[in-house]
Formats: sequence, C-alpha cells, structure tokens
Amino acid sequence: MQPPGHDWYVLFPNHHQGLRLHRVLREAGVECTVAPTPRVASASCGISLLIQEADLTLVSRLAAEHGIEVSGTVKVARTAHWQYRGC
Amino acid sequence: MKVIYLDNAATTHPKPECVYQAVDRFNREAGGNPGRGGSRATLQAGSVVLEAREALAGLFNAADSSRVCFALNVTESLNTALKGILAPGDHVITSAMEHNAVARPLFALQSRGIEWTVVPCAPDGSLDPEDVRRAIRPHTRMMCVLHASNVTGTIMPIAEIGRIAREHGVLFVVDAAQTAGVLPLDVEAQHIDILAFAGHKGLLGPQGTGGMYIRPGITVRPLKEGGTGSRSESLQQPDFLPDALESGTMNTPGIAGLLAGVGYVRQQGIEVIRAHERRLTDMLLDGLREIPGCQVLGPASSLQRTAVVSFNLEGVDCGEVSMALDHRYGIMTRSGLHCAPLAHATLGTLERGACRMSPGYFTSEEDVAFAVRAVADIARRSRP
Repeated sequence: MQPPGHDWYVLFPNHHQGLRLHRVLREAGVECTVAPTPRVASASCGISLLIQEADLTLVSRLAAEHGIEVSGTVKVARTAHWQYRGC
Repeated sequence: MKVIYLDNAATTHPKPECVYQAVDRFNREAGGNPGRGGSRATLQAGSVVLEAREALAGLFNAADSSRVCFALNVTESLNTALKGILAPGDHVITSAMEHNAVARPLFALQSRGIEWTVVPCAPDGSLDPEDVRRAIRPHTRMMCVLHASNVTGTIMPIAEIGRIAREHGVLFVVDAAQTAGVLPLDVEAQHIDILAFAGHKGLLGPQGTGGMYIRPGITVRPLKEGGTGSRSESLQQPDFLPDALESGTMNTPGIAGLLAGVGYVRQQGIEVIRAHERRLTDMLLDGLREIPGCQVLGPASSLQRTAVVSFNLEGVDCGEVSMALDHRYGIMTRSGLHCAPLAHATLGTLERGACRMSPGYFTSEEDVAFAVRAVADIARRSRP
C-alpha cells in the first residue's frame, strides 16, 4: 500500500556538498536518506537527500551554518519505492 | 643482501602498514566510483574522498575542503595551475631551483606569449626573497616557487615570498612536492594561493596521488573536460570545485591510502617526523664531508634543508656510484639530474649530475651509518 503525499529532496551542485550535509544531519540526529536525484526534480545525475517536511527549516539552517551549498529543495510526489527510505 | 631504501625524495618507501590496509580494504570492500550515482557503494567511496579532502585541508590550514582538488600527481596539478591561469602577456617568476614539473610547462608556455623570469639562487640553492621582489614587473601575474629542492633539500623562504606576492597582488603558487608531510604548511600564514602537493612522498600515500588547494576567488581553467557526476545534463564543464578539475574516474583506492597516510603523519606529528629526518640528514652531511674527495651539495646545516643530500666523488661518475651502492651494498639512491636541470645549473653540476641520498621517516640511523661507510668504501676503491 503506497502512502499518499510527497517527499522532500535537497539538491546539491555536487557530491562533495551532498555528502557533507549528509554527515552533518546524521551527527545532528536528523533523519535523512541519500538518494539518486529524481528526474522530475533535476536532470542532474548527482545525489540528493530525502528529508522530512518537518525538518525543512532545520536542514536549511544546518546547511547555512556549515557553509554547505544547496541547489534547492524540491517537493516530489511519492512513488512506489517509498519503503527504501530511512525517513 | 638487506635493501636500504634512500630514495624517498622520488617516492617514500615503505608506506605505513595502515596505508597498505586502506588501499586493500577499499578495493575489496568499498570499490564504488565516487560521485557517480547514489548507490551505497558510491557513497562509501565518496566518503573516503570527502574525508581525504578534509584531512588535507586541515593539514594545510585551508578553510574550504571543496577547494582541494585531486590529481594523479603534483606535476598534473602544477600544469593545471600554470596553464589554467596564465594567459598571453602574463609574466611569471620562478626560482632557479625549480623541478621540470614547473620548468617544462613554463618553457612550453613561452611559445604562447607568456614571459618567464628565473631568479638566480646562491650556489647552495638558497633564494633571497628580495631578488624575487626585484623581478616583479607591472604585468607579473604569478610567482611559482618550490618549497624545497629535490636535489639539495634547500628550503625556500616561502612565507616571505608569499608576503611579497600578496603586497603586489601577484598569485603565489607553491610546489610542495618535497615538503607536504615533512615541513609545516599553512596557506593562510604563508599567503599561498595555490598549494600543489604529491600524495606519495611525505604524505606517505600510494603513487598516483597528488593534488592542489586553490584559494577561493581564483579560477583555474581545467586541462581536461569530462564526466564529473554533476550537472550531467549540460555539455559545459562545471565551473565549481572540485568538479571543474576532476574529470574522469579518480584514483580512489590511492586516495584511500593517502587518507591513511595523512592520518599517520598527523598522528606521528610533523615535528617528530622532521626531527628524525634532520638527525639522519646531519649524520649524512657529517659523514660524507669527512670522506676525502666527496663534494656535498646544498646548504651546510640540516636546519636549511629537507632530508635530501646529493654528492659527488672526485673522479667517479655519479651513475657508477649509484650503481655500486645498489649492487654492492643494497642501497637505493638516484643519480643524474633528478629532473631538475635548472637546479643543477645553479649548483654547477649540470654536466656531471650527482648522486642523491634521501632518507625517510622509516630509515634508521644504522642504515645511514652503513650508507656513509659504503660511500667511503667506494671512494677508497676509486682512488688511483
């Protein structure tokens, strides 16, 4: 049964910035999952971070505090493969 | 016959055990291609590269690790820095002790309208920063100086040169091939704009590793374009670092080893490594000077040099000395011009070359004492 709703993806210019935020979020106890960037979010073949809607502000703040470059945060309709997410 | 490796200026050997293990572990257990997709294997590999960038940034006191770009060796990074910045009409200043990693690209760039001034050095290879200041012209774009000579170990006054470069708004590029991991490097205190390093020498990583740090605000054109794992939808090369300068799959197993090497250096402490190598250098300098007919090149004191000692025996070809040391005594050295004809011209040994001994952190005092006795033996046997 696929839950309705949306996912939030944080996009990055490159892997370096994505991996940095992944580490920062893990250390801060913020749930997140590294995921390939969905094509609807960006044509880039890099990585994204799946985060929870409730953490949007916190994630933006942590990225800014650590000088991590983020290309954007996008809302994407949830798909059938939701079960692989950590959040 | 026991082998004594005294060619650490070419590449350090052996490596710490943790370096061998890190390379092996990466190849067996991680194995992904960093930056390519988002699989767990990719993330594992990407984390190794990220950690290595951060470890190097920490070692060089660089605030932004995304500006540490990996390459196959320091030569590739120096070529990128020189060819990716200098444009026709620019003037560049170097010392007269530079390695061919700098001299050959600049020689080639002269035919493309770049002007190059070589500032003379003293016969021991030392450089007066004021001579560098006097070489500045209105169109000087860059100063590129090696931190220490690969022939004599002569340590250059890079902090002073960096200050002069900054005062005049000139870019300062440092070739730290011989010093990263052996002498303190601080891109802020030494006013370094681009720091090129070898991964397989003082940093104790595997061959096929190197790179450079580029200060924020400096744009370097890439030598090559290609896949970076980022902005794949665009045919235009990304303009942000490190991606702009890291096209194609990198030597990730090597970088895993380099990360372990940097960790080892930081754990031991550069001061401890330097103190050990200075002791060995003093032993070599004192021992070789006592041998009749032995001419030792470079500064008199180990304080002014890294652990590199080149010498000649009167009446004996340097290649013969090196071969005798290898085959008769099991001692590995390097003879010839050491890819540094400018340096040998400064030292007056362009025709003759020299035999170079370069101990490392894993060289013992007994090894050096044996090497000195071996040279004395060769000198005695060679006397008419």
